[in-house]
Amino acid sequence: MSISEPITRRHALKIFGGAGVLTVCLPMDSLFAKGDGQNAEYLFGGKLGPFVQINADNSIVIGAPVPDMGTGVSTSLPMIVANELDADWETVTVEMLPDSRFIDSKDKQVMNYSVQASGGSATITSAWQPLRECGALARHLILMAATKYLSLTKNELDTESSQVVVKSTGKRYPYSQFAEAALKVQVPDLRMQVTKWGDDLLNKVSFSEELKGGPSIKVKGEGAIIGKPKSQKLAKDIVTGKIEFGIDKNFDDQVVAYIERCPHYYGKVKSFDAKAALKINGVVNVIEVPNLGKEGDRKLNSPGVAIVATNLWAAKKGRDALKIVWDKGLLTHENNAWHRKELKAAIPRETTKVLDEKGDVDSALKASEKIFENDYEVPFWGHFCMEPLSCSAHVLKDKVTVKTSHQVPRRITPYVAKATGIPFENIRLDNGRIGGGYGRRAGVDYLAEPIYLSQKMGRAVKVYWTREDDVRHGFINPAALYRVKAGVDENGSLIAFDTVGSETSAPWVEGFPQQTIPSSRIKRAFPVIKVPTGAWRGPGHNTIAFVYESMIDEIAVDLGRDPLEYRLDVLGEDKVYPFKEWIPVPGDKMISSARMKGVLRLAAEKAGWGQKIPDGYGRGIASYFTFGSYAAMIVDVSVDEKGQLTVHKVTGAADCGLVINPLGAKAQMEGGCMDGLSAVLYQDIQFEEGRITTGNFQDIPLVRIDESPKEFDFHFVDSDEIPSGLGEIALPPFIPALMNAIYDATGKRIRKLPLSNQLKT
Amino acid sequence: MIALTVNGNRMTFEGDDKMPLLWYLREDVNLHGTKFGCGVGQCGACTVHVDGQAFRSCVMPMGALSGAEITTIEGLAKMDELHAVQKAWIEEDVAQCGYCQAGQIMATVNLLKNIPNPTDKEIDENHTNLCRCGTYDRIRKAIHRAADLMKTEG
Repeated sequence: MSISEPITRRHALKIFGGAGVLTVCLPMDSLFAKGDGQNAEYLFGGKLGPFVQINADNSIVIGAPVPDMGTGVSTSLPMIVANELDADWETVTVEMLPDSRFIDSKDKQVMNYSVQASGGSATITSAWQPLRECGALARHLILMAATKYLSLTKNELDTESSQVVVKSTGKRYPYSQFAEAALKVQVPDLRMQVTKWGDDLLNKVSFSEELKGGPSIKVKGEGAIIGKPKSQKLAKDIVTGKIEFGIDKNFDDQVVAYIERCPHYYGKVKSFDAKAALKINGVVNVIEVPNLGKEGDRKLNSPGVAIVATNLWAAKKGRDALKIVWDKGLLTHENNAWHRKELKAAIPRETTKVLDEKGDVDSALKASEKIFENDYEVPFWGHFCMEPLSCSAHVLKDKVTVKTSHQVPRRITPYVAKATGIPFENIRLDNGRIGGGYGRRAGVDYLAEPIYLSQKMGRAVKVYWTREDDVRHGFINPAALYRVKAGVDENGSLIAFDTVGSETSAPWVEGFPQQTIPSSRIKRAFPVIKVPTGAWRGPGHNTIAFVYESMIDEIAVDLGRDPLEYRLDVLGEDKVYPFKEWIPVPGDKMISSARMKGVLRLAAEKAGWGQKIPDGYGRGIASYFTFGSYAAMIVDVSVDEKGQLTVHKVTGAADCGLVINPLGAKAQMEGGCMDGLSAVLYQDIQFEEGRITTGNFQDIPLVRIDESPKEFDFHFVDSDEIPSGLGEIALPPFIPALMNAIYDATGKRIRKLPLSNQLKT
Repeated sequence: MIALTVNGNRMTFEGDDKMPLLWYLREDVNLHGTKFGCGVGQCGACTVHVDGQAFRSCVMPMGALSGAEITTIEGLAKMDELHAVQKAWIEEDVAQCGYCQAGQIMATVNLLKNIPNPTDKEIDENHTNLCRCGTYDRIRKAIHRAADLMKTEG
């Protein structure tokens, strides 16, 4: 029995009664609904709320509403429910819930029960409250059923480890004993209610807390599950190869396709010759895939030619045999050297625009005792998700099914509806586990192609991407050049901070130290570079943290100040400042200097900042605020005489509010550091003639185990704040902490990424 | 015609002998646990055992596999009993997205066969599979744990 199937009452009776466990038959009276719709059976089809199913053997299935791309939400979200439910975590199994969005009367998408997207480190923050309420509701329903059966009041009962406990006697009853009756418990104002939830609409379980003894939600510290390290519930399916990623999903009668896309971004097909390709056994069609539109201000897809075949090897051979003449488009002047020149050239142009300004920066710079001015450069970074893109689509006359792995389902449906003319309710998304997303799987380009091909073929088509396709037709992290000019007074205090960011997307530059410096200004330059770019782990922050936290370090070192002490001084008094950039906490857009100082101090304490480190080692520190969470990193490195870097230890501290799963939280910190290390050491997408020439892992190998830091030591601030995310929190401060450590070890200041041979003498 | 076994099952293959094993496993045998990552033997997501040795199946042509015994991640556990390396992977909570982990596990089984009690340095020198999520620290711990488990299990 799957939690994702609606359960009829008869069905529920069958399963709950079927395993030889006592099924409680209770008299119907005022406690139980008489068909007025205010009970779980009516609202949730036989489950105790949208996420909870209690089996006859008292094991519990908890649904996980958000596809997991490695952030651990298939464990941490059910933990939130289980904590409220007082479930025995050992007997909880997790089931991934299908996409269950719907459309309201105003044609607006509504998420059902909980958020269903993974991005912006927002999952935990956005799902926290709805999931708590659902867990509390399920517990309440069981307790109310138990009061009736045991003729006791709710206050005389407690719950623990999937059991109802009679306080006076200590006698215990398994939840399963009350599961059937609990479905019928009437909760006075239980209903589903559509509410605005961040930028989305959420159809949320709603009830009045404590009204007439209604469900009560735990406060911090209550419950046996939240805050305890829990290993992943789906681990066994992963280590046995059973878990289904998007690329593993197929239609029974599908054909498969590769697409040879125009390598020049914004180029197109001039002509093609498919004769040889069509002769290959298994090739069934060769179809030109045109420009399928735009997504925001960027191209939607790379036009090309699809080889459709009965099997993938035939498609590959057909692709090899295909002859295409490309129209290279108007961007053949673009290459790495040109990009770099353009980033610099854009800065003094009249198009440069002030985004934010306070105080009088020019006067403050004039009045400064000492001025610092540096350029910092970051190249284009690719996503390199381990699971290359793929998607299969079956477009029928009146319905469409899409199978893939995608971070943000709500972006899919409007596109599919527009492309096919098929209404929302007939569009089905079968979303698999995500083999890495990092922002790449937020677009619709890789869905658009199989939808187009399925329409042409009149049957299900699955489009596979090779690694080279994936690298060359991505929406990658923008290259950037930042120029920062800072002034200090006679005491060394920062009094002026002037930033110009030259990159192809809007710089996200509002984090510290802007807020605490009396005069600061942020300008944006507009280089004319057409590389298709998009979200990449910690968009904007991944770059600007390197810029600001390197700059602060340079100033501290120059002034002979301790880099930690100097940072604490710059952050100044404990205060919250308004923060305009995106963070996933509705209504509370503030950034706190106290919390930032807190993570710096915690990391410093754990690393033994100020104590002697081994000879030849260097140590660097940095901190940064990303998407609602604060992190500080201290990195210990050495560089040998050949210029070989070893990262010995990373000590980190984060303040992400209440930590749901410390084991998973640490994994996100590790992952962020590793991604940062790969970026620093290897990421540098290569271009010629307006096309990406980087192809596979020979070109950009990314970090392997031998270059991994030898030790991680992560700590979390004990906090009562609403939990915030961790997926994108570690990378931004890790990169500058590493660079500052390299400086400490070698005296070499790295202002241009990647590191490549800059440490070789 | 090529005769081979996959996880103990006898199979025959009559297609293009240049087709890599990975494509056969995923498309013809419908075993999806072995993953495509790069297609050029660089990342190791497709690692399987051929006659007890780890190979990157994306560059292993079917023509070379006559009489070969293939083991994939699906065939690693004996009945319901997980292999020590799988157990260690669960106990160290290694996986993040999990996509590369079948390959990491198959490579580790082979590593421990050749070096039953590897040092960190030996792991660094011999374990080359790519993980984009950055689970290496836990992989290292899991390799050591698996080595210990295998000693106890004999």
